[in-house]
Amino acid sequence: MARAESLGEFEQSVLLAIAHLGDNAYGVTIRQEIERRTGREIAIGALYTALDRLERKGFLRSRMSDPTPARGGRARRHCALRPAGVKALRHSREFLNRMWDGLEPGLKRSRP
Amino acid sequence: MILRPPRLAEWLVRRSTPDAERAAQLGDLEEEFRDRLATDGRGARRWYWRQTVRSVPSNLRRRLFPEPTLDGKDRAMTSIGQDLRFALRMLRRRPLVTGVAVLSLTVGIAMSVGVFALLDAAVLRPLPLRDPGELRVLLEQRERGTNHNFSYPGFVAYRAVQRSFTDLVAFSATTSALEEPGGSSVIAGELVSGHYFSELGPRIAIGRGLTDADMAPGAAEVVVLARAEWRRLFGDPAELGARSVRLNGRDFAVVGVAADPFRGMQVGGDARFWAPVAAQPVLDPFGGQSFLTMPTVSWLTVMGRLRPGVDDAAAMAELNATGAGLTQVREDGPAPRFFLIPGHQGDSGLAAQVEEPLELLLGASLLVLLVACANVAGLLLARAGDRTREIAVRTALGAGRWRITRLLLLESIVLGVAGTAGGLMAARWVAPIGAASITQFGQPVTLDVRLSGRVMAFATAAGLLTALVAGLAPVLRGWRHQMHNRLHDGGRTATAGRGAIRWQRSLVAGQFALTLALVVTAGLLVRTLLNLQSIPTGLAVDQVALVGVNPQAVQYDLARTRDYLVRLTERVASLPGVRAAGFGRVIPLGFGGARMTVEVPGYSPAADGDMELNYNVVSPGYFEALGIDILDGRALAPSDTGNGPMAVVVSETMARRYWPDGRAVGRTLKLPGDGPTLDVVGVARDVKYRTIREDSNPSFYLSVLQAAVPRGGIIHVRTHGEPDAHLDTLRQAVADVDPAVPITLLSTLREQVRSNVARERLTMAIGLVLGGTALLLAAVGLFGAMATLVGRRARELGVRLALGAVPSQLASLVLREGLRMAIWGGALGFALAIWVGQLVESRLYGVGAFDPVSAAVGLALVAGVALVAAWLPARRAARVDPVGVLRAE
Repeated sequence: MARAESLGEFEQSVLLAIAHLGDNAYGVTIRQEIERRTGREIAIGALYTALDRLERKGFLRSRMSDPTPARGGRARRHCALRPAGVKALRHSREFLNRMWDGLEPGLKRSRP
Repeated sequence: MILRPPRLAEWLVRRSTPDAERAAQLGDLEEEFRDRLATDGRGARRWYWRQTVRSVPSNLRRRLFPEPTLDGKDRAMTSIGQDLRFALRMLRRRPLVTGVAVLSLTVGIAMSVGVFALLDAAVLRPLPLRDPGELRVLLEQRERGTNHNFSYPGFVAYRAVQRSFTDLVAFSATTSALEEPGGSSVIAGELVSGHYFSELGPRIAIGRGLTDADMAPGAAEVVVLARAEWRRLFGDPAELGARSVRLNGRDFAVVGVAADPFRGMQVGGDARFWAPVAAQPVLDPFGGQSFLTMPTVSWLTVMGRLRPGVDDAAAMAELNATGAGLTQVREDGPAPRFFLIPGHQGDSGLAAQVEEPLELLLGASLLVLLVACANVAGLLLARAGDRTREIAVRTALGAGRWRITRLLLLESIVLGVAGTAGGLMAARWVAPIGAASITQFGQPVTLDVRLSGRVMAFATAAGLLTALVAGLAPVLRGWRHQMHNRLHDGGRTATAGRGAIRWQRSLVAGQFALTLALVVTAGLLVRTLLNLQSIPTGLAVDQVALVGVNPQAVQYDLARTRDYLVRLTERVASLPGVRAAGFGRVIPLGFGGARMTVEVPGYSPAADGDMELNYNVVSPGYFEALGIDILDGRALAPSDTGNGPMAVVVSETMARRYWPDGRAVGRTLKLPGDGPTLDVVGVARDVKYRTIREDSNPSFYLSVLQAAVPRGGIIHVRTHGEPDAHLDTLRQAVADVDPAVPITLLSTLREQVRSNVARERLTMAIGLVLGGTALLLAAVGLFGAMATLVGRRARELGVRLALGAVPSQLASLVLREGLRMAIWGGALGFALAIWVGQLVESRLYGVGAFDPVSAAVGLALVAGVALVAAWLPARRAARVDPVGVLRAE
């Protein structure tokens, strides 16, 4: 199952953004959160591809809200972490920490 | 300035995005677009386009190639989903078979659930009280094992000393005349003690319940109304206001409204008001007497809520110990013994009356469900026969036994769910019809029949169980036949599906067995009812109209009551079309009556002899009005008045029993103690007094001019022609004499006889419906089985034809096959019918557990239906096209 729990970089970013946002996590805010923190512009299609995959893996759940006029009468897809998602994030971080363990700080700085 | 996102970009996103995400993605884009628009209009449009261009490829890929699921559990769910979809598709592909299966289940479940809903409403469900399981009814057991309620002084004394209950409450049902603008009507209510509402806990919707303060002598006259009555009289206002109702000629202020569905302490009751017990002399008048001070009148039902930690045995022991010290509350006899019965249904006797017949009918309806189950099993078997090849392929491709079983069971579960849903919907309509025909002592009851949680649970359990049992047949057959061996013969040879046919034959035979048993039993019930209705009652049943009046309800004293009854009877007798009219205190065949203990000089009763006899108080015209022959002496006469000696007419049986060697006329009866002596002036032919089934009992008649009539009674009107036609005139006549006097009954003697056998009628009617339904279902089952058979044997029939058989020979071959099943089933059914007959024997009258007539009629019916059901497939067999069949080889 370790393989199923390993996360790509973008997937981690999405899950972490949701964790930061709490109750207010949906397409617009998640996208903006990642953009604000990383300075990278995210395509909405890419975001939803990741959300779709993460939901299938059981790392998050989503529900549709009521439609609002500010969105042309369309509903929001609100996302929330599931316990498995939190576990997977911890697992990824620990995995990287172990790999970094013992390397000099210089390598960290000199990495491209 | 452009406020909308670029149309083309929006269109591209819409077309490329997976359906489930379309709204969310477009919404996100539009929301952020509008935010950006506020600061930078052109930048917003550029941003929208950039997003679109970068999103379309990934969206489109996912739209065109949805990703498979990854999780193991998900995968299992999906394959169940696939199986379910497949099952639905298979069921949809054979709409006729599916329709018949679902309809069979619907009918079977509707019947069972309908009967169960009645059982739930009348027997299982407690009254809408607080923690009804803690409530107990206290009863006093006297000599000869009879049970009694409490007198008011007795209740007060016990309430003061008992320790086992949190409190005791007392109540008594009554009916009172309610004055309305349109005239007086009689409504039911209860006289209750002070803690009734607070202790039993029915919900109060508006205002307050009654309290001890309302019981005090001199307190204002107050009532609590049922919500339904509040609605009817005042249009359901939310505030109490200063409203009052006029009951028995007195104004009662409304202080509260009890919430629906509370209707008093009887299941099926229809109490419309609750008044303090202190109002008894007004609301439940008995010749002007107040029961509140009388220790000998046991008119109150007493209930209590057990204290926590006290069980029934301890409470009874405590009551009996306390009771020994309280004998002064009764004037006579040894210390009473007390016992408790569960009080969750108040003091209603309905459960005791209908539980056994309803359980019997529930059993019958489950048999019908079994017939329906056999139908579904038969259809599924036939289908499984057709699918042998498909299942063999699945097995060959690696589907395990469990997987195949699941596939087959899912189909029957889908059928079960559909049948349950249909059955519940139909039951909503069936159950109220059944409820309307339930009566207690000839009076209709108000049953709150609904699909409660218990009923839903029953329906679901019945539906799923039926579906599983029905689905088991093909599964078991499949296991036994090692399906993978079936691939090479392809389900085409004559032997293929022989196992299925054998199963199906057994099913059809079983259906006919159950059906015959049900039909024969229904026949027994029909004959019982016919026998009961033809019992001579001694009364001119077809010619008598009945008008009940209660002048005491509007505070007439005895002298005025007598005068009123004489005037009313004379007036009615003078109406056109009326042959005779007479008053009687007791309604014939009304289940109840009045009893009085008498002494017969010269006759000493046996040790256990009962000298408490039925009696009636009647006017001189009574015998003629009801067509009761006077066999000896004379009827009561207008001259038998208060001034002369008291006259009595005795019944035939009474004369024979107490004066076996000589005339009764000229002898005397004596009332106990220093009661008066009665002169026997005549002997009347026996009549049925309480019920049609009863044996002849000794009974006697006193004159209304000499004896008390504490609660009014009935004017019996013998008419020329149909008595129903006179009811309106009679109502008018009562109003003409005194419009304030309430009419307590307006009916005919024929109707009275009918309601006296209402229970038997109900059992018969439901029995007939169940029998008919079973017959119909069995016919469908046989038809289905025969049709499958003909389809399966098409090749054989074709070969026979090709070899020179005549079509009519083929038809009779198939027909014989069908009848063979019916005959096997019939033989089994006879055995079953005899057994069921013995179960219901106690409910039969004038017919034994095995009745040749019912059996013959039942057999003829079942055989006739079988013939018709087998005939159509047989005709199809005769039309088999040999060339077509052989070419298919």
